[in-house]
Amino acid sequence: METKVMGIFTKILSFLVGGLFVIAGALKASDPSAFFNAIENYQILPHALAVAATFFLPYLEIFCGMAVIFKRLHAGALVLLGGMTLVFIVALLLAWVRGLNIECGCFGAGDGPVNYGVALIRDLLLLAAIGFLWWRRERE
Amino acid sequence: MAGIVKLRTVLKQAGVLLLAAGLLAVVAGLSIPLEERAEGEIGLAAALRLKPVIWIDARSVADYDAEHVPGALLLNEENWSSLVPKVLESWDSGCTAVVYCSSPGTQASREVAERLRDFKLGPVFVLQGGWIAWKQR
Repeated sequence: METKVMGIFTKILSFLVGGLFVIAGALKASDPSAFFNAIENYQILPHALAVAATFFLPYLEIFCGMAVIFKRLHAGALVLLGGMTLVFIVALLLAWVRGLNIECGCFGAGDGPVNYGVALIRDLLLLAAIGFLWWRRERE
Repeated sequence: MAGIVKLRTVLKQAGVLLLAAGLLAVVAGLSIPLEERAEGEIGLAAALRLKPVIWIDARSVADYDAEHVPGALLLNEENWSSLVPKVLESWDSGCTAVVYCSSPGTQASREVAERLRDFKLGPVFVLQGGWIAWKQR
């Protein structure tokens, strides 16, 4: 019984985590110009890398999100999503420390100035969810 | 041994996903015409890192005379024909132009940027937040 409940919970969580990345990636891919500005506002990457990330990151999020939902290339997708989330957390922390008043860019443009506390808690929860999915995968 | 096999599987799968995203990114990047890539807005932080750049002030003469971005050239729709020759003279081919007006809500910078793009001298961006963003930097 407990295993069955855990299985359903894992499936729901996979759908939520994967879906979140698919939506975030699709929103970024739909407006590359706005996402480029969001990356540049963090003042971390050099111009050329910011351009590359503008086109690369959204599709990586979409592919990894779909891989988690459909359980294909599952382990690779979870590692990449975990890595990306860690990078987002570090970027947010760096921007916070420097007192930048910028948009998060987490879900494309137009989400207003970032609330660092909320964004960090969300990303940490996301990282925990990815960790949980990895743990479940290892036990299966 | 099992650990190495598992690591290999993870790396292989991650590689496939990275490659797929990379290929689509290249296609997406190349599918946008250069002119369109140059359109749109740019944040102040990004604009300040552009080199070389020419700043265009799309506000009124009075606002420009009161204060403007250092080195910016005045160019508005009201005095277009008298002001544009100086801008074209100063705008080296390939140099990025950043146009700003009074506030994010005004259309002046967008219209001036639209006209400037017709000269096809280089990328043209509209500064997000306009003059207000500059003053608050």
